[in-house]
Amino acid sequence: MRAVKDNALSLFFLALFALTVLGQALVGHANENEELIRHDQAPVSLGEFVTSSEFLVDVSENWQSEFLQFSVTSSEFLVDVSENWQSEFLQFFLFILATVWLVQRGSPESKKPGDEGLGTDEDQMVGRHARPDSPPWARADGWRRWLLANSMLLVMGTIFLLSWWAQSLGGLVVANQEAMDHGELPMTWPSYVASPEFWNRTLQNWQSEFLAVGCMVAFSIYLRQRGSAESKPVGTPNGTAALESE
Amino acid sequence: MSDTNSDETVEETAGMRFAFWSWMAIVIAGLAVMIVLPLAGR
Repeated sequence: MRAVKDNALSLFFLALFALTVLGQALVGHANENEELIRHDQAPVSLGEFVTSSEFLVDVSENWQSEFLQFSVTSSEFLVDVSENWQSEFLQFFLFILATVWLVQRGSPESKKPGDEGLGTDEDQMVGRHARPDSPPWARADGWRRWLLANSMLLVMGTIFLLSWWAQSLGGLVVANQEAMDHGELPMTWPSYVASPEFWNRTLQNWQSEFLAVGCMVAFSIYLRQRGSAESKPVGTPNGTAALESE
Repeated sequence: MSDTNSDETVEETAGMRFAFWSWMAIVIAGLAVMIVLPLAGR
């Protein structure tokens, strides 16, 4: 029970993530079948809509039309997922990077003015300033310390780039099916990533992420939520960030 | 934001490792599916 309480935040979002992915699969499947029926085509099963196993087994047995229909339904689902993933990870990547060098006076999401930059080894508890219980690579020199010191940006940036690439791959499959339906030539990957559709999907996700981060930074100067780690304590002056008040 | 210079020593627990690796596994599995399927479907 203690383990559940200690990790409740991770577990809570894990449950929310599982429920929302399941919900997206169910309503995405229903939406897809509505479209198929509207176009006098046979509906697909939920398994066909979201999974790959049947696709990979059947790929050698089936011929063009079924192959394409199935790949498109799964790619439609995946492109919807990946375009949201990439924007979330870009949001965190930029937020982590920007908060190294930029501050917002009064925001608990920011360091205090004057603290911009990478910080001293003493502040960061690295090298000879590492504590006995610091991660071993905080004490190490060279690439190991560099890797630990930048691991959050590296992981977030890698996931962003991979999910953005995944969005382009799934989007290309869907776009080429539509092109084929209209008797047009299929697109190449470079032409798809230069297309208005790709950038429309991309930018509509990016703008909402940047809006949310900007609001979080600015609203938290004046607004409070008692008890939340994302807020400064209720009585903290507006011009003071949480760290300054301690 | 937490105070990173706190002197409090907190033991790393199995629950913390579970939280980290379960999220990492979700991301790696999701990325693999989202990349492999469209490539295979081409």
